[in-house]
This record gives sequence, C-alpha cells and structure tokens, in this order.
Amino acid sequence: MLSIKNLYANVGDKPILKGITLQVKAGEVHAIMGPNGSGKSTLANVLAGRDDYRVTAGEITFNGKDLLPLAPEVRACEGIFLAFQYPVEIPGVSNVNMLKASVNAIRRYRGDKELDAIDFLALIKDKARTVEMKQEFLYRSVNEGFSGGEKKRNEILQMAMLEPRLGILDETDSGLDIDALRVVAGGVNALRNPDRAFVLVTHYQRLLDYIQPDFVHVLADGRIIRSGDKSLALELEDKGYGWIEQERSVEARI
Amino acid sequence: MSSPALDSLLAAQPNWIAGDGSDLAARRSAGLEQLRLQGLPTLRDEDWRYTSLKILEKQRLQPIHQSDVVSNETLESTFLSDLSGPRLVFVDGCLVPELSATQNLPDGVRIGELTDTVTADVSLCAALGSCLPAQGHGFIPLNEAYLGKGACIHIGRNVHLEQPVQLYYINSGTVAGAAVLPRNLLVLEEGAEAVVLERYIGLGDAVSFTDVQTEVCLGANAGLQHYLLQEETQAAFHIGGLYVRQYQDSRLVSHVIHLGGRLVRRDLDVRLCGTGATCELNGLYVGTGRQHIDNHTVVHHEQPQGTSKQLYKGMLDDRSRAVFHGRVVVSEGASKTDAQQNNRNLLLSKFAEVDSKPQLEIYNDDVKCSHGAAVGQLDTDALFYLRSRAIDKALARRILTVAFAREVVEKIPLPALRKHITEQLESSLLRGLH
Ligand SMILES: Nc1ncnc2c1ncn2[C@@H]1O[C@H](COP(=O)(O)OP(=O)(O)OP(=O)(O)O)[C@@H](O)[C@H]1O
Ligand SMILES: [Mg+2]
Repeated sequence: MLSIKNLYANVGDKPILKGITLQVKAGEVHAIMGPNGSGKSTLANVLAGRDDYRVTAGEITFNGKDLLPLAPEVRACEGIFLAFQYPVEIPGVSNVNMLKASVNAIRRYRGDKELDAIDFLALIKDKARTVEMKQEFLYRSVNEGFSGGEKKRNEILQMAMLEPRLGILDETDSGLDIDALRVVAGGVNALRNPDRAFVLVTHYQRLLDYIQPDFVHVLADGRIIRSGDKSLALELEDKGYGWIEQERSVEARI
Repeated sequence: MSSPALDSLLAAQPNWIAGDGSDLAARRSAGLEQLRLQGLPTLRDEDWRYTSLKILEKQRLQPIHQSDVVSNETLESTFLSDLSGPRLVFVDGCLVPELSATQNLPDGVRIGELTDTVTADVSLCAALGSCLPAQGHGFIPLNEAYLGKGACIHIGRNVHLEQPVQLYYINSGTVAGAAVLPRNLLVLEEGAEAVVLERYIGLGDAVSFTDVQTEVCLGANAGLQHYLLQEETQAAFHIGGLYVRQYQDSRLVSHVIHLGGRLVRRDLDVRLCGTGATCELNGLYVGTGRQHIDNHTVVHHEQPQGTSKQLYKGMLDDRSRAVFHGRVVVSEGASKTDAQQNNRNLLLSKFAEVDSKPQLEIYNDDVKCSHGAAVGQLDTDALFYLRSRAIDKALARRILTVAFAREVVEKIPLPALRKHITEQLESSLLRGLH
C-alpha cells in the first residue's frame, strides 16, 4: 500500500530524513519509535504533504500512485490521514463545519453523493459517541481551548469520520490518561481491517499493549536503524535507544 | 491640478433644485462658497495621506435626483427579505415612495425625506449641521452645497422603536458619472432607542459617486444601533461620514461593513460630550481587485467616565488596499475614560497593502487606554491542517478568511444581517480567491 524508498528530506538546507525505506502493506500496523528530534514527525508530515519539507531524493508510492506531486488535500482524498502531534487550533471554524467540508470533499472525490446536513449530523454524533466526546465539542472551534487530551481525542474523531486507508498517528498517545488512551486505541482497532493500514509514531510501549503492531521500527537521526516485531518495543522499553546505537557502533568497528 | 470632478460639481450646483426651504438654499450657497475656497483634499492633507483621489478627480460627475430606469421588482430583489420595518428607498438620489414604508409609525417617531421633515420643525432645522465639524474636509462643504436630499429620523423622548429603520441608497448604474450627495439626520431625544441601517447598493456598471454625510444626535440616555452596509460596485466612489454627538449616558453601537466600492472613504467621528456616554465601533472591510478602502475613526472623550471600544478587521486580496486610521482624543476633563482600539488585517495576496495607524492623544492621567494594530497572513499551520483534512486550498483559505471575519460579524445582533453579510463575504471571497 505504502512504499517509501530511500527518502531524503530537508527543512531549509538542513537534512532531516537521510534515506528512509519502508514498506507498509494493507492490513498491517507499523510502530515507529525513536529519540526526540530523530525525524518521526518529519516523516509523518512529508507523507501528509506538508510543503515546508523538501524531498531531495527518493520516492513514495501509495497504492501504486506517485504520492509526491499530490497536494495534501488530494492525498487525504486518496485515503491518507495524519493525526497531528500538535493539533492546530482554528478559531472561528467549528468542528462540525470543518468535518462536513472534509467528509463531502472525500465523497465527491470518490464519486459518492454528498451527505446532507441531517445525515451528516447523525453520522458525526454517532462517531462522537464512540470516541466518548461530548456533543458540545462538535460545535466549538476546532481545537480552540481544548485540553491536550481533548485535542488528541478530536484527532481520533476526525479519523473515524474520514475512514482513511492509511492512518498515521503521530504521538496521539502522548499525554493521555488511561481512559483517553483506551479511546485512541479503540478508534484505531475499530477501523482495523485487511484493507487499511496504520503507522503509529509513539514513545511508549503502553499504546502497543492496546494495538498490537506487526512491525516496530526505530528511527534515529533520519534513518531506520532497526526493525523487528513487537518484542523490539519491549526491548527498547527495557534498555532505551542507547543500546541499539552502541550495538551499531560496535558493528561498524567490526 | 485640474479636477474635472470638482469642476463639474461646481458648475452643476447653480441648477440644483432640491426642494424649497430658503434656509437650506442659504446653506447651499455657503457650502458652495466654502468648497470653492477649500477644494477637495489632497495627499498633503494629513488625514488623506494614504488615499489618493486622482482617479476620482478625473471623472466627470453629474449630480442627479431622478429615477425611473429600474423596475420595482429589480429594486425589491435587493431588499433584505428577513428584515421588516420602516424603510426609505432612494434610487439615484431620489425617493421612491412606492417602495418606501413609513406608515403606522408609533407616536413620537418621524421618518421622512430630509427637506420636508426639517422645514416642518424648527428644532430639527437647528440640529441640521450641528454635528458636523467646523473645519471638515472638502466633501463636507460639497455635501452642504447640494443639501436637500436624504432622510430624517426623529425619535421622541423615551420612545423605543424596536424595528430597524432601513435607508436604501441604490445606484442604478445607468448614468455615467452619476453623483448623489445625500444628508441624513438622526435625532434621538432623551431616553429614545432606535436601530438604523444605511445600505448603499450599486446595480449597473457605470461610474458613480456618493458623498453622504450622516449626522446623529443622541440625547441623554438614548441608544442607537447603527449599521452601514456598503455594497456598491467596483466602479463606485463612496465618500461618507457618520458624525455623532452623544450626551450623558447615551449609547452608540456602530457596525461598518464594506463589501464593495472602487474607492471608499468613511469618516466616523464620535463626540462623547456627556458624562458616562459609551460607544462601540465595529468594522469589517473586504478588498478584492483594485479596491481602496479607507476608514478614519475619531472618538473625542470630552467628559468623565466615557468608554469607547473599537474593533476593525480587514481582509485584503489581489491588489486591494486599505487604510485604518483610528484617533482617540481624551480631553483634560475626561477622567475615568476607558478607550480600547484594535485593528487587525489579513493580507491574502502579496500585492495587497494596509496602512494601519492608531493615534492616541491623552490629556488626562486617570484613564485606561489601549490600542493594537496587526497585519498578518493566513496561518499556514491552520491551512495545512484543513488541507490534510481533504479541504482544497481555495476552500481552506475561504474558511479561514470567513473565520477571521466572524468575530466582527458575530457582534451584529440582527440575524438577518449576520446571514446576509456572511453570504456576501463568502461570495466576494469566492470571486477573489484562487
Ligand atoms: N520547521 C522546522 N525548522 C527547523 N527545524 C525543524 C523544523 N521541523 C523539524 N525540524 C528539526 O528536524 C528534526 C526532526 O524533527 P521531528 O519533529 O521530525 O522529530 P521527532 O522525531 O518527531 O521528535 P519528537 O519525538 O520530539 O516529536 C529536529 O531536530 C527538529 O528541530
Ligand atoms: Mg514528533
């Protein structure tokens, strides 16, 4: 579904991603872990189409299509969804209005009929219930004045509404209480099916207790330095990242 | 510099017949004299530094006050259907009685054409002109030179007129260089309350010129909600003023909305000449194409315990340009004044421009004054966020722009107006955004 080959990306003149290769197949869940500043969010944003990052080499295909020339909105219509590490506050734009525009843009793209106000409201109220979000939040400005956890919950609501093919969650689990963590994990698990895939950027094993990943990757200094199955996450929890780095430098010396 | 505009207006004035009233005729002559002396403002005038009148001066103008070219159905289609109440409709400077509605007014309320109403009442006649500045710019004597057309609203003591009074000034856009120069007089006696909407609309594409001056006298404890809706075409020149005198504990809420016009200049001048008077001035301007929109506000705090609160927001696209100059003058005697001013602008194109100039002149120590001015662009994080939610760039920009305006629109208590303005805002931004 997603194929990243030898991807390099800069912010300004500064290289951040330095040769990433990653294959994600439909139905899979990949976890990406790694130290602060290693480039995890950069990768997530490059996938979503943020143009502050300049791809200098490599390629990304999504369901066979070259992703790089596509505008962010087209990528979203193609089924990519990014839950932001820091969701943006948008005063004056209500959650319902934004999501109505989103849902209908995707429906138009897919050739489906747009939802009318009544059907849309029924849908969003239903989804709000599944993420245990009070209805008043739907009418508030997007993320404005939301607590950290409420913002993350709102990202999951949006994902539930847009039903992406590839959900990229950038530290959606950070700063969550146990109940909220359960909601986030529930949001992902409810969408999991053989046609969808997820990339979970996380620092904590505890999310992976709720969402079993098929693969775990460690990103450090713009490269994937280790990939493994879910036991890798446990090992990291135990030993930290230093262990891999040390092992690598030993390998390098040999 | 030669000025076909001024020359044509000076030349046409002697043939101007606008009702009787020898008193008005004398004022017209005096206005003409003053205009000859003074001329129109130039870039050298401090208050006109950012607004060049060059393109206006080139026009040959023709004062008019007659209309039969537009059908009543067309005119009615421009009305805000959800808004009922008394209404005066002027088309090309001329009152259209069939479309106007001034029947069944409550006791103590008079709404009518200016000349008739003031000539029938000595005190209104005396009030006329009393709110205008002694030394205003040239468009004030120009307006005086053509005095006679316009509306007069008089609300008697303690009368509360609930329904909004609508003044429509519609330009047919069929006469090239059509000039209309109305004067409106609003007098609210002690304890009176009213809602007044001035709406300026253009239909055809011909160049038009409006010089409108509105005077407002608010007696003690009177309350006025005033709306100015400027929705002319991009071939319209609009120069206008709202000059307000507020007595003790009176309240003014003003909403100025600019959605059209080629060259627009509005002066909003509020004199708080009674203790405890309050005013709230809200403004919204949207510029596209080559529009130039200039708002000058002045609040004179002359007595203690007055408050003024200003919020003007602008959104400018293409090559449009806006000026906001907000002056607050606190006199020596005006202790416990609370004055706030805020002007925020959104530039939607790299060719758009704003000149924002707050100016506080404070001659009393016991006051609370604040002001802020900002010019910014659309938040790129918000833009990316919306686009990542499948919303295309043009729509995302429109959503954010309308959101920026919402703060001002939401201050409007009349739902029919809020709805109309939001729709107009969206469609004008739809035209402008790419
Ligand atoms: N817009 C930017 N301008 C300058 N530097 C940037 C910018 N965006 C990212 N960087 C830098 O790129 C590097 C990678 O950042 P990124 O946000 O991708 O890290 P991360 O792995 O997500 O870290 P964390 O775990 O703390 O979220 C960091 O050193 C960061 O400072
Ligand atoms: Mg990050």
